[in-house]
Amino acid sequence: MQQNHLPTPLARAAMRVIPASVLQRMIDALMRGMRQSHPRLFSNLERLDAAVVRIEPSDLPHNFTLAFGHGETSLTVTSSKDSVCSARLKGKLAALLDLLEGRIDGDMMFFSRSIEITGDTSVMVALRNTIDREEINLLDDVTALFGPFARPARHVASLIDKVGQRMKERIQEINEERSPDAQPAKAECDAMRAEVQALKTRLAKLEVRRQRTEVSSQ
Amino acid sequence: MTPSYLELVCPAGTPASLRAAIDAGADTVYCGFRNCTNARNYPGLNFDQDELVEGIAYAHERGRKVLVAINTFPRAGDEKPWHQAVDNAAEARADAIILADIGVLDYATRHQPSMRRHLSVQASAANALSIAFYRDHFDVKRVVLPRVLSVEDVAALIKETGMETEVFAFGSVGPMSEGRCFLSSYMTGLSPTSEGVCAPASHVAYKEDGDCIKSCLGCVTLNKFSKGEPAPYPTPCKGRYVTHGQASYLFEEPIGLNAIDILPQLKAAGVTALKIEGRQRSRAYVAEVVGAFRKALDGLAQGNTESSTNDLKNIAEGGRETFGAYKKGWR
Repeated sequence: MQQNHLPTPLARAAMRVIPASVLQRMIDALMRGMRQSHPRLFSNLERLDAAVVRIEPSDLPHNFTLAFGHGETSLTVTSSKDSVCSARLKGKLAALLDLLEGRIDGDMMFFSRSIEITGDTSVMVALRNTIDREEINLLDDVTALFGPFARPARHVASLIDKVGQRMKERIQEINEERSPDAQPAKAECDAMRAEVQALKTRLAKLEVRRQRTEVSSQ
Repeated sequence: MTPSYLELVCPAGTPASLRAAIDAGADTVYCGFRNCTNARNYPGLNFDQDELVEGIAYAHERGRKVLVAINTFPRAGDEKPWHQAVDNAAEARADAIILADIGVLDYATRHQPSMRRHLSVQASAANALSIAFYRDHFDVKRVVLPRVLSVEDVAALIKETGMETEVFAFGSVGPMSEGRCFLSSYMTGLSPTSEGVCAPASHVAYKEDGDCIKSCLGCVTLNKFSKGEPAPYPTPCKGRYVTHGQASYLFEEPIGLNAIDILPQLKAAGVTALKIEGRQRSRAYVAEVVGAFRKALDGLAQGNTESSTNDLKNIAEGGRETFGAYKKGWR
């Protein structure tokens, strides 16, 4: 089957080893390409109020600064966590790429705490909605950088992803063979944790009701 | 697609979501303009006139409908945006407009008489007298019922008024009179009924507090949750407040409404349409929820009364689901 999405393990592995200066040049090229392929996205971003969002992939050594609004859009690689920004978005690279490509609901990721947002929420809401308006496929945009070699590049990416998947599955199998009870135990543990949480809430409510009854009977 | 068991009315906050909803099997999509006339007036969301025209064309080419929600309440002396929105929806050839305010209903009745009018949930019409008033004075064809009624209440209302009804099937639950949260007005100084949002993003802040995150609306801390603990929306009704030394969800727990398992009961009650909430959510959410309901409705239309697989828990607020007021278990 044709690979449809940028393989996250491949992207993560590449971004872990590529020096920031080289990564920046690649990002500049990607942004130039995306400006051509998604002109509406850029005009919508540039119509927003000026803001700076720091994107912190928790499994990468780099952070990114996305500045948009007032007619400009830029994405910069940074290693600093202290630069001034309007808002911060933190999560694993896979989660961030899913968000960018509209594959997963941002609210769901927020409910489950797969992503964390701090700072000016209106900036993040505007950014999220503006990106979600556009149907982005990062694999198309990245492979387009290879010009006439876009198709072979896509094929190679697909092969690497398949090998990576197979390796991941095999490692999982080996782990399960070593510890056959690990998975059911974890699921059971999660269910019990949820049940304990629900019981705690009920208990708190009952306690409040008890205290109210006590107060009203005095 | 088989004839719909119940009309599936789905949200679209962006043109991409509209296409996602139609492609996933929505019979009807509802959306709104990018301004104060829309009860989901979030930054970066909603449609301009050209996008609405394109969206309606996309839906009509596939035999589906588009409704335009103009469901906030005009500010005194500043009715023009609402009147303009009614005229723009008519010009774009929307299939109906969803209205809440009697002034806007009056304007639409007089200036766009051929435009079908639905009564928004924001009007909070939850009894026969109220519904009959809108039906008789503004020729409203459909009422969107507030999420405070049991299935039996819904059936009785339909029987008494003879009105076409749309009920919420998936989305949020809240204890307040729909869209009129005075707590939100108090905390933010902005009225949900005229500004269109109950927790304006401009007033929401998430702050790190050690290993925890605090969510705040205005200067009020609504919640504090630790790592791994599900987070609710930062709305006053989902706040965790401290009373008698105990922090608890006093009004409403973080939980989502899901009526997918009681669709036959809603059909038997006489309901015409199911509303999926979530114009402020992503197109991924729209595709997933609409797809699940489409599958369930098609199954029921083919006589499959077995409960469909419900995989929507993860996408619901707080990762938990309820039938809400449809089944009032506390009674």
